[in-house]
Amino acid sequence: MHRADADRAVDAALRQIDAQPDNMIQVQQTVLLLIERARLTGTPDDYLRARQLLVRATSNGGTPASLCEAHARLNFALHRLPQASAALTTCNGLMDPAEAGALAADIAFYSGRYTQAKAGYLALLNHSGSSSQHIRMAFYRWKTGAPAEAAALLEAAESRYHGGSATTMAWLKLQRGLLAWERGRLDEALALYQLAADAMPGWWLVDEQIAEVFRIQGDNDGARERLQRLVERNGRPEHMDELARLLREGPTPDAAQPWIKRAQAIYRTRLADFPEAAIGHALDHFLQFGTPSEALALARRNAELRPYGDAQIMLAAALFRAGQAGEAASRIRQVQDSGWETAQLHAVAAQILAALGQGPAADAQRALALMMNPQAMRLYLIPQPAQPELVSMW
Amino acid sequence: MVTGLGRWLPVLLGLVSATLPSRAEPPYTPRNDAVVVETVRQPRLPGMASLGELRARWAAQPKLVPAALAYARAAAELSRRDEDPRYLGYAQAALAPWWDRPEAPPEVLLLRASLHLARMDYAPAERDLQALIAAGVPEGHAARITRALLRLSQGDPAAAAADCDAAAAHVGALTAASCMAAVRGLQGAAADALDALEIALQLSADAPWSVELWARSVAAELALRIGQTARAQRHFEAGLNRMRAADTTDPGILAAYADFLLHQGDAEQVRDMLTPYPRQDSLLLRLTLAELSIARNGDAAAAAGATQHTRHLTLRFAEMRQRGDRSHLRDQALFELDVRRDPSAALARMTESWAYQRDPVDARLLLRAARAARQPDAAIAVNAWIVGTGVRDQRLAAEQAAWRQQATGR
Repeated sequence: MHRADADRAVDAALRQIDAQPDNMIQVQQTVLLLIERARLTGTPDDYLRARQLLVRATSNGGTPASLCEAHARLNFALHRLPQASAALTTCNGLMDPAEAGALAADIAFYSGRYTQAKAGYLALLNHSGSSSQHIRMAFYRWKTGAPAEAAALLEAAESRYHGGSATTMAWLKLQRGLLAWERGRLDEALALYQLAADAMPGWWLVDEQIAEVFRIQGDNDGARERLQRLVERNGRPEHMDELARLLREGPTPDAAQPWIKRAQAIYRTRLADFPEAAIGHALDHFLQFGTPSEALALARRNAELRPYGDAQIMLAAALFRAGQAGEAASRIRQVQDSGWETAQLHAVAAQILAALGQGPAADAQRALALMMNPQAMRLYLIPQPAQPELVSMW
Repeated sequence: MVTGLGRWLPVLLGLVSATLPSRAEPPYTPRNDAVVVETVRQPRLPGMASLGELRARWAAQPKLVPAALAYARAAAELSRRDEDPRYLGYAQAALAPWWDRPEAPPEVLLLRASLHLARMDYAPAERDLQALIAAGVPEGHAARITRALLRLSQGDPAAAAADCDAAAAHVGALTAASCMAAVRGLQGAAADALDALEIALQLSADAPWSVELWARSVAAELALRIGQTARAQRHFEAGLNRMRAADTTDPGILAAYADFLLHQGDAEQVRDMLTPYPRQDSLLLRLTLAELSIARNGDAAAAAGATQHTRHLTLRFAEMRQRGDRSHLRDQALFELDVRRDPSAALARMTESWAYQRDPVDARLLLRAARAARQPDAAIAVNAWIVGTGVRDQRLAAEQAAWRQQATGR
């Protein structure tokens, strides 16, 4: 769905609700449209509209059961997993079983219950074998040490997609590109991103990844131009941060500060409006540009809300930056024991263990990271704790 | 009857004079291709690529900041471990595109400041640190801690305290505690500072090794200032255990512990401890001092070792002077005083060093050198500094008393 199509569909749906305020099916569909548009634009305003719609519908007689799917999906999108799970349980028989099963498995995955998530994904794959079920299993295998299998599953998902949605086609190419990126295949990733851009020109989700490839390949000018266009178009704080990182490495490092300040102001507003949904995005900013204590508080909350591997790795990075390297290493060990296995996990482990002076273990983790992604030690650098560069020379 | 030191003095003096270069040494030329001039290692830090790999990546994209920083940081760390200035040169080369630019990337500024400090080029280091602090960038917190250490080494605890305070919320607990303990230790509150630092050490058992080694070094020094040698020894040993577990080398803590052991009369342990570190000048100096001490008891192997090492050190320090390297002035003074037994040369080195570094160790050495050279006036500045800071140190007090006795002719 393009942005213009999404706008038209949302406008039409809102008009219908005005005409039939007690039509809960219409409310539910409109909430799902708003969630979809929020994903497309990357701005949280539509989550606010969706929440307001649900409040109004409840006051107009809507029961939790009649609005269960909308509640479950909105809460899931806002990273409120227990609330999403609770809403889903009220949907008994009112939601398509495959859709309900998929959402339950997704909730299990982001809650760190990987065995349960895998069982759900397998059941869905065996039951319908649709494109979206292949995608879910691909994500699972991607994060649990089988990226080649994940790549095959994503290709299978693409070949099974027969709809005409440009967004879906672009999104599938993008996911394949991201997976190639995480395997260190930067040229392949860029080619896939460009295919995604062909399918959906100007989509920020694709353009930001292309800028990242440019940056890693040393084309800072190309990356900066692309990010500047993105910031002008969308005003997303993530892009301001990326632009700031580039400017800090360029001839005018001072030019980065206004972008960092602008991004931080936006994150603070979002953290106030949508604390759960905003934390994961804000964390990256505060980890690099905020105080260690604030970043650590956000990372702890983020890992509580979604205790899956990536959030735990971010927490380990925040602990490390706050000077708690030992606890960071413990956290990393827990993630490894949980079955999560990515190049990022091993690369972060290597950096933390090296700081702790556990040389052989650090070397082993580095080797594992490089085996999964030859670029891992360049791509997954974590912010160092503030200390003198050459502390022990004094 | 010649006893004690007197018995061995002629031997020692002969040993020392044999090492004195009477004129500039001619360049060394190997006799044939089979002669091994130096064993070149492929240095690598744990969990990181080898220096060669990092250099190759930097050479492929020399203007890419992350590649340059990764190579420069690894080289700087190797320089610290091996006390090998060539690695500082590698690091500087990696930062060449930004070396003279006032507006450099913040991470480059921070590392550039550290490289300047390693060479005791304080003015450019201060400029870079101040620029980072004024810009309000995240690297400003590390810059504050670095500047605090600089102020401490310059003997200005009040200025250091301001930086430690400002950085405290942005750094790890043990980093903040070490910074403040070092400050309070110079302000005459060593006992309280040590108590606080020991609590922080207990609560930070999982700190990075580099931070713990710094904290242990500060704690041991504070304990020595208040005369608690057993407590100091515990911190030295804990630090060395952590250093060995991390498979790293910290010349700073090794040298400080060696000084402590030599003062305790345990030259044998110093020899055992430092024999594996012939590359580091500061450690080779302490090894030589230990060998000289052991040689006084008739140990021929120790005497031979001292002769050979004295020759090496003479050359190395001469090279440092040739290239204007001020990083080992204090060690050069110690070498002149206790190995070559040339108090005038020692006093000259310490007088030069005092312009850059002023902590109780420097103060003691300057007082000793001035006394040995029978030029007590040359150390008057030390007394002013002691009064100005309020520092209290039992070893320094003893040295000051001896100096005062000579200065006043009593």
